[in-house]
Amino acid sequence: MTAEAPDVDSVARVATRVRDNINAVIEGKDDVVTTAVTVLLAEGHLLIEDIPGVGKTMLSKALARSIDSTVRRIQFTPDLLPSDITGVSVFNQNTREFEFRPGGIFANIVVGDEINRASPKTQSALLECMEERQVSIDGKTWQLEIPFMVIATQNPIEMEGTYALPEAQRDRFMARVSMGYPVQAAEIAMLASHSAHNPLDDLKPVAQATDIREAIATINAIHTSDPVLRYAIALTHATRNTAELTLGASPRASLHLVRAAKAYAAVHGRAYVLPDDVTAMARPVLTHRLMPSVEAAMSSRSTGAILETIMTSVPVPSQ
Amino acid sequence: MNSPPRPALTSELPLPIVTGLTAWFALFAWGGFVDTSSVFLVPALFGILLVAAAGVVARQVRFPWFVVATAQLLVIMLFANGVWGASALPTSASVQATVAAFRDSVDVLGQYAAPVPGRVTEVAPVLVLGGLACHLLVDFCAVTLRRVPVAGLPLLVIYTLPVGVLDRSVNPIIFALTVIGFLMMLALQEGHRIARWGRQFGAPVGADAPGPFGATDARRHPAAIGAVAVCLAVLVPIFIPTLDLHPFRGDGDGPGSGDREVRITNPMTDLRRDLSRKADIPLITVRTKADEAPSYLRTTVLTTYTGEAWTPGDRDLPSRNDVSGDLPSPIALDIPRATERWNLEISEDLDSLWLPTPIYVASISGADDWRYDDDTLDVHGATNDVSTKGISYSLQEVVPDIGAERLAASRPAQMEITSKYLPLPKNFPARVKEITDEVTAGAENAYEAAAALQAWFRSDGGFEYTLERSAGNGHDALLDFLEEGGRRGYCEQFASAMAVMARSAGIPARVAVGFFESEQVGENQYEFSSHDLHAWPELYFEGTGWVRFEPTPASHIPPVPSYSNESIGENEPDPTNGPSQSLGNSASPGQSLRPSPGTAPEDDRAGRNSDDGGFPWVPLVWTLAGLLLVAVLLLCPRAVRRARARRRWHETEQSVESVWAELADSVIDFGIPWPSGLSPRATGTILARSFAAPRSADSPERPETGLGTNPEAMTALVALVSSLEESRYAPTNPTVDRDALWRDAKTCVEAWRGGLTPRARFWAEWWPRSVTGRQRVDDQVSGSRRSEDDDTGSGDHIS
Repeated sequence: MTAEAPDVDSVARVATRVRDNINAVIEGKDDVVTTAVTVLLAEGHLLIEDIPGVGKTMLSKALARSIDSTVRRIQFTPDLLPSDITGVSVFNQNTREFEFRPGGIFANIVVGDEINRASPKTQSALLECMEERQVSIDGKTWQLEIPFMVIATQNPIEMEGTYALPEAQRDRFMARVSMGYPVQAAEIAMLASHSAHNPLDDLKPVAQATDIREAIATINAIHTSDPVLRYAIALTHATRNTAELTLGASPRASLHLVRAAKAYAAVHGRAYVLPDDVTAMARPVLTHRLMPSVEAAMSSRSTGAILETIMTSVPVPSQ
Repeated sequence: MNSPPRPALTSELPLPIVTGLTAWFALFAWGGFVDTSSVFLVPALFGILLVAAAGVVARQVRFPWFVVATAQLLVIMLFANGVWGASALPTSASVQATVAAFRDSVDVLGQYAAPVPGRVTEVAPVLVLGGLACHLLVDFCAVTLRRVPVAGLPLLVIYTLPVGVLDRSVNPIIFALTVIGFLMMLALQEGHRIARWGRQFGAPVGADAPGPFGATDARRHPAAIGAVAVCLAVLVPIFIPTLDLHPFRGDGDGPGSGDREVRITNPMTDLRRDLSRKADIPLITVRTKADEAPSYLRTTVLTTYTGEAWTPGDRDLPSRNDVSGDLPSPIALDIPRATERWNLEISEDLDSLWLPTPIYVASISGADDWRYDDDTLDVHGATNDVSTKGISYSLQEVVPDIGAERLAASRPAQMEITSKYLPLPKNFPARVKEITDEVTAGAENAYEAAAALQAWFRSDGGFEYTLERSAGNGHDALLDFLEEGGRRGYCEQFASAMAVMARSAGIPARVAVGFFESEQVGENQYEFSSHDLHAWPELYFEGTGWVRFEPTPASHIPPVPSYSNESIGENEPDPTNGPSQSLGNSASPGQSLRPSPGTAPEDDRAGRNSDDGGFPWVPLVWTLAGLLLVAVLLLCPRAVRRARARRRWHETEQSVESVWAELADSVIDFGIPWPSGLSPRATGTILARSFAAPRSADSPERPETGLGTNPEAMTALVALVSSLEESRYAPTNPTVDRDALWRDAKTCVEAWRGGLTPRARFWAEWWPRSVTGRQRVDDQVSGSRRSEDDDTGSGDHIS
């Protein structure tokens, strides 16, 4: 931690610009947008899981376009190969050497559409890159750029012929968000604006990749006090010790939670983390990592509801 | 508002009413104390209704439990004052009258054997107030605390009191009524709880809608459970023969039961009861070849005069003094003596804690479970389980030859005797001492004084023996008995009066209880029966020992009056002749025989006069002191709360935290629930909902509360929360402006206060819940609870 106060105001300004930009395209989903921006600044990956047609791809594209950076979109299909993601070495007849053709992963923001349609082999190739932030092919290692963010979308219904992400791999995503249906007013506004032309076309980048890099550096210096750390740990521990869950949050989840909370604090212009930041990020960060027990599943208790119960039972330490 | 809705009055009424009636029914059990029970039952019913009503009102206002109980106690006092002081509000005169009535009542209970005759209405106050106190307890447990099962205990006390004191069973109908009332109480109260246990399958959700009694299955259960338990408790002992417990058996169906049994545990009360009994029951058979028929037989000795009664006093049971073998000489060794052998057989009807023996015994055999007390010369059971029922034993009686000269020449008694057998209670009436002095005016020594007293009682004083006027032996009864016009009584009065007067004349004295005069039933065979129960004084003469006197008038010894005279004449100083023989004798020793008892009664006279002289200052002062104490206690929480606020104001370090703590206490005082375990921001969000505009002259009684009502307070709260967050979670401690913080806090507190009803404001001021209640700001303590102790178990879940 640096001694001097981190420049959270500039982070907040960047975040506000990006959020406003996305909000111009997606009506009435400020909390989801904020989470997406927070995850971007926290160097995490985002999983958007929802039914078709509510704007998953729109959100990921809007976020990608709001930042002046390289964007790749990969449409996951059953026949997608791992090399399509990581890249491939091809033999150059002229130079008589193998040269590397980078795959879809080599970008600042990678949008992976319908990730659950790809084969597990391909999925794991993507997930490996997400975690390592590098690609190793033929003994050579290629570093990925910073910022690097994977925004994957997943469709929870129409599961036939899909390969749902196993829990271990879902854990790699910092947060999962659901779009949900828009409220009526937002939907009307959307009809008015989308019927004429695609609003994404008007979207201009409002932040440079360097802005994001600086913001990430600033966020790393955000202060997290001891009670807040203890609160975050208490939350993840509580998920491990409840009978309603067979799988609780991993240590990586604790790490992600604190990092997300730091980014959330910075996005809101604060140089220190509040318990409320942890609370705000706990739902998107933890829910997709939890696995309900058989009893909870049979009584139709969603992991979200179980997490809510846990959060009300864990007191916030004040000292 | 934040407080739960007040329950409807109608739903609160049944339980106190049923409770009151149940207590009243239980009071019927006390009917055995008096001839006409309406004397206390009617006022008790009114009192019970008043107490119950006071309870209902106090609970309706939702006072804490101790205030409710205190209010009910006050109502009892006011009721007593109204009934016996004949004044609605307590004045000095009415309080005095009430206290006097109560004291009279206690005296009457002491004087009369149960049942007290119907014309003696003075007995009511003790019974009424006792009943009300019991009802207060029952009401407190059952209604105020909502613990009906516990209320069974005070009910049981009411019910068992007559069983314990009168040693007789209580009418089964009263028992049944009480039990039914208790079951109704259980059904009313516990029905709610038991209904929560579960609902029958298939029953509609709303099926257990409340009805008054047992309207639903769930409600019927508690009463059914209780009824089954009662039936089992009543019936099972009847079918288990070894238990020997027959709760409702009536009189006279065989030996050892009901009215036939003569039980001696509390000698005086038992004596009184057994003498007035109709049937004369043979109790002890004595076989002896002695020339004289056995006359006196002692059971025990009453050594202590409390001012209310003669009691056996505190005695250490002599655990080692086995009665086997020779006993220490009961009387001075140099007195010529003869011995007689007695064989005693005690019938099944005599149940005594003491073994009947003559006063002077040389040895006892055949009674291994008994212990001899060489001070009181009586024989007590080694344990309380030992009984005289049906036992037989033999003993050597010592028949000493004590001469009047020997007694007249005795020196003052030693300390160990005087310290034990001379003391009189502090408030001993001076008048008794005066009478004693009059009677013993001519006596030159202790013996003459004793003889004079005896003669006065037996003949000179004009006393009349009667069992009818059962005056007790307390002070007032004693005075009454000694004064002209009241000189009627039976052996108890004579014995205790003479013993008391002997003590006041400086002669160590005590009262012996036992039997007098056997009846010959065969050759060398004699019998003592229940009508032979008797009491007499024993006086101590240094150099001789304890000597029996007989103050009961000669008229009472009718069966063989001549025998009585002979007997006393031969073995004892003759009560009629003794004084005349020795009156002219010695001159000086009499003075020295009266060590110093004169001073004590003199002091007592002064004390008594001041007691009688009008206003009862002492109780008044105590009452005032008590009220003052209560007032101080009631004011304590407010003082504590204020001190706490002041301390926080002066605290310089951690000032944000102290402002926050003060805020929390204020919120709790206002009865707004403080959300514990939340972050400051979340807490603030919740609390802001209780904001209202600050109070002004035209504020409504129930002001509107909500987020938008007081923007100023909202700003202040946000500022406070930010400061707190910064101080708790930011890396560097912020510089705080204390005055601004306190100003913000004040704004917030005023906003919350503005949303309160006048009553809530009153309680917040005078009975702050942050001091009196259990809710504290305790979000500090529980934070690390889970994380610390659960580290080990997490692996299971992952695998």
